[in-house]
Amino acid sequence: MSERPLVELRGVSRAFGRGPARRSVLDQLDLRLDAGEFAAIVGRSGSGKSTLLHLLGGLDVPDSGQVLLAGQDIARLPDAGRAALRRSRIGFVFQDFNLVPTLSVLENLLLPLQLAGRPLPESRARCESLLAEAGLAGLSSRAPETLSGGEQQRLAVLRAVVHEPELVLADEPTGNLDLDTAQQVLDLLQRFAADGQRTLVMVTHSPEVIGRARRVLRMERGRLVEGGQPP
Amino acid sequence: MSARWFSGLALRAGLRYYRDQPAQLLVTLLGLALGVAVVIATDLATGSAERAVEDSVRLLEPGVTHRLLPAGRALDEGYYAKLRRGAGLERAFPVIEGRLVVRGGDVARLPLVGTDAVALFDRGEAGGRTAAGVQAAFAQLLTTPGAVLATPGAAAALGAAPGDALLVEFPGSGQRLVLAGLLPAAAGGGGGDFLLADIATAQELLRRPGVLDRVDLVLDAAGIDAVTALLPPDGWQLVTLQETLAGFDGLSRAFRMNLQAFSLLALLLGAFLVYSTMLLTLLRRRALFATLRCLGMTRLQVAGLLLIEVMMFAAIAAAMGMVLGIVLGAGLVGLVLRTLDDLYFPLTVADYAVTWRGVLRGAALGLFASLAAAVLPVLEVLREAPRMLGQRTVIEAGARGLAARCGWLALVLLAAGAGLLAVADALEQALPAMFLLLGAAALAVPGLVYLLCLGLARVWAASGRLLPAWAARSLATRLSRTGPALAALVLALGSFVAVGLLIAGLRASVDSWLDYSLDADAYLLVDAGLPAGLSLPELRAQVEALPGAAGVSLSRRVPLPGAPGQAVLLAVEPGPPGLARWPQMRGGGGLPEAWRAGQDVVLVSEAWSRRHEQSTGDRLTLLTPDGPRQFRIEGLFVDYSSETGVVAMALDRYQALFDDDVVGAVGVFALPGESEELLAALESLADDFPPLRVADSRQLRAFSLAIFDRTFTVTRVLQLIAGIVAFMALLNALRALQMDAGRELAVLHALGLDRAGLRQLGRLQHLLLGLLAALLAVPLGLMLARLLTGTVTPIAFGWSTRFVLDARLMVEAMLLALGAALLAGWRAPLPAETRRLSRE
Repeated sequence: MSERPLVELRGVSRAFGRGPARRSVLDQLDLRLDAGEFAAIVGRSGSGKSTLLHLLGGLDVPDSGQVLLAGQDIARLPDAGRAALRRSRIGFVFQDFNLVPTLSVLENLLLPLQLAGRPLPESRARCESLLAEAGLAGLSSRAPETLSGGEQQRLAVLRAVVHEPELVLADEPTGNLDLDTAQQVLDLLQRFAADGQRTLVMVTHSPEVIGRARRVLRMERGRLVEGGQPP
Repeated sequence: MSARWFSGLALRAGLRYYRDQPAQLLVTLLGLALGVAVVIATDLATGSAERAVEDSVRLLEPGVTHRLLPAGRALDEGYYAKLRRGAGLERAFPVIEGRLVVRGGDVARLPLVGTDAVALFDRGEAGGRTAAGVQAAFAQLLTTPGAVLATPGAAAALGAAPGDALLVEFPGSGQRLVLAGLLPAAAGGGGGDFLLADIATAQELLRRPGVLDRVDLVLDAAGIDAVTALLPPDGWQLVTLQETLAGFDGLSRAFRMNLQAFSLLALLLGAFLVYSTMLLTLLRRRALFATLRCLGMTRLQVAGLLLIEVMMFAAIAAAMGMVLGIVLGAGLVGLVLRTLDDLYFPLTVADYAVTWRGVLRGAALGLFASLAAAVLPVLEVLREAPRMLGQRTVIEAGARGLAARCGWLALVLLAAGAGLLAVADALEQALPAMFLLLGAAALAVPGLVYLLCLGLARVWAASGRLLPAWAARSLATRLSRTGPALAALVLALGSFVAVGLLIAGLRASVDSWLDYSLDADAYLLVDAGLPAGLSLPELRAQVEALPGAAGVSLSRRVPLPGAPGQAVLLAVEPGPPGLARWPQMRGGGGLPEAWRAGQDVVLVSEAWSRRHEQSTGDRLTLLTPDGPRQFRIEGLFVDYSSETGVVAMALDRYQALFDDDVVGAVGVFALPGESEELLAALESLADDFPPLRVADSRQLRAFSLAIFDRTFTVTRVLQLIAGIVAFMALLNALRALQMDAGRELAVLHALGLDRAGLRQLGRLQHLLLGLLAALLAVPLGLMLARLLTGTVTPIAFGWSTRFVLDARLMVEAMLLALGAALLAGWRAPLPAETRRLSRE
């Protein structure tokens, strides 16, 4: 166990709804994730997996507790601070790809770099190189919706890593894909996101993913019932 | 490396969304552009009209400071000569004005201004400001019989050049003129088209010998004293130019405010379209915003992008509106000037000047309205955390919550509007009150539509008609998409109905007023003076002896002595149909006993009563040749001839007190069935005794109604625009539905509903939307019309107006809504999701 984990959650709770309809989704959750880890979060629907992922990415803030990224409590950061973290240190992959339909393949990839303020020529070169590595080189000017599901998800993976984040969060990235395509996407994710330097956290129901992950976090009713502490 | 606050790619991603929604964008741009255009057009038109009025006032002498106006009797031109000599005035311009039909190469109806050519010539010689050619032309006015000068535009309209002969056309005769020269385009400070003649020529052409309309004067302090000392003791008035213009300002204020209220309404409707479109497009793009937030954009950055987007569209719409507004304004200024000319002021100048201030003000209002309209949707989108953004139920729950809050706010606005209206005694209060009520209606619409749709859905569901129930419920649950566009539609349709009813009510009121104010069968116009050697009793005896004549009425209409401005004193001797027919008394017909008994009593028009807060039993003071004299107000009467008011008194009393035995018109009443014969006899009499003229009562009535219709042409144009905006709003709402219901329709398609069934379902939704809009708009229109006729018009013009329930208008509004719904839905493409699903 390293001295300072990349991600640490201390006593995190989160509930939704008001009054009698209020429902606790995460309950006093503790978690440590070191740099270079590949962790799979598993559990039944409604167990709090996606909420945990959103908290890790600064898309949501806990009702109580701390979410520390490299020692910094991102829950206490203002919206702009959390956005800055997402621009520089965090990447996302979603089940529905969430590509920008009105931008081309290349532009989708350029967008995070432009938001981070990287110079265009350098960014373009990096994007074209990544597209070539992922087998999407000839598709740069195409609209995302003209790509197959597998191609779209591969593009989404590239977008999550193009700005070289320390933490990549993936929410059931293979949930909409057939087995072969899912395999390709997982290969790509492992190559770019679980390269030993970045930390990859993936919500999944897939045994294939669970088999590849170095650590499995099992959730039930808002608590980690397995894998809460690093092995 | 610092992050960028602006991402061109993110902006491009947002803008490209509209590439797939061109119709939505076009409707919004056009709606907003129309709003901006109407604001600009109204501004330019009223501004140009006001300048035209000022130019008309300063037509002959830019430095004119005072006016001498007749009061009690016409200005005698002999007095002008006395004044010029006695007060040592060098810069005095007697004026007579009228319009003539003149034939040159072409025929044109032009204003004729008659003045003292000597004074004009002297001014040119003294000031050295007049070009040598024009000075020579002034000299020709003096030396050439029948000489007139024309502005270049007037000469062009006549197809004539200097030296050409012109012919003034009169019924059955003509009079020759010579176009002696051209006036500079900006003669005397004005730039319009008119003919200028020496006063004697003009009096002859206008058949008003020896009469002046006014004398324009350039006076210093000593001159004022000199003229005042020479004023005859019979109520002549020396007024400053500022008083004249101020009088006009007051008169045109109501007219201007009405136009501005309309233009603001148009802009409000445009803003609703922006709101509706922004909300719709933002909701459709929530996934994009969520993605952008995930990629590291802050709330403020996303908001900034959206506001840039809005500003870009608003700028395009404003640019379109500027062009459209300038074009529309050119058309509108003609209508406004004709209205002002008909109602208030004889205008000789008709220039349309585009002022950048007016144009930019309209454009800025458009930008502001767009931004204001976009703020709420943008805040709504940004309020939620990014993880919530893609969830439809959250959006709709938010929209329903918003509709409920809007309902409460509507009640507050309703109470505020009603309260303000209850105490309103000026347009400055009445119009904001109307806008508060309109705002309340707009806010209440989404909630009402929601309840109506749910109610319908329940009824259909209970009877087992699940597809219609789905259609109704789908409308209710898409409140966030349809609500704002529906509000715009209801407002536009409601305004369409209200304005239509207002015009119908005013027209009906004027029509019935004409019934008793033009109660004679024909009128013998004697305002140009009696024929030489014929006294009024002799004329009266001759008329009463005509075959078919049943009797006569006499009237004299003069500016009210002692009241600078446009108020009128009407002296009248009613005809044989009786005192019960004229004037129409409030609360019953007939003239008061004191009137018949020759006491100092008057009747006042409603407009007078409202402006001066005087009513039956109060006393008003009139300036008579023997000094101020008090009159008791015996009653009120309805009158639409003057906004500033009319004071009526018995003719014999007027003649006794004001030493004026002139009458303006002799009304002639025919025996039953003999009006044609009487009219022929009158024509014959007039031919024998020029300058008598005959006016057929039916023609006068038709002329009056034509003026009325011209007055409301502007309003009708704006009503038409409200109709167009209503149509656009409906298209917007329907488009929103089509775009949004795609997924559910796809499911229905998958479950076995064929394409024809899907289209029918779509049409049912469209019809339902149109019907609901019309159902809400008609009562709103009725309520607005009631307020306009019952409160706003009396405040604005001092006129009470009948409330006419014109079913045709309500049917038109229904047809407009249903027709647009059917038109938009008949061949509407199936939503993309359905097509995609069917391909799969």
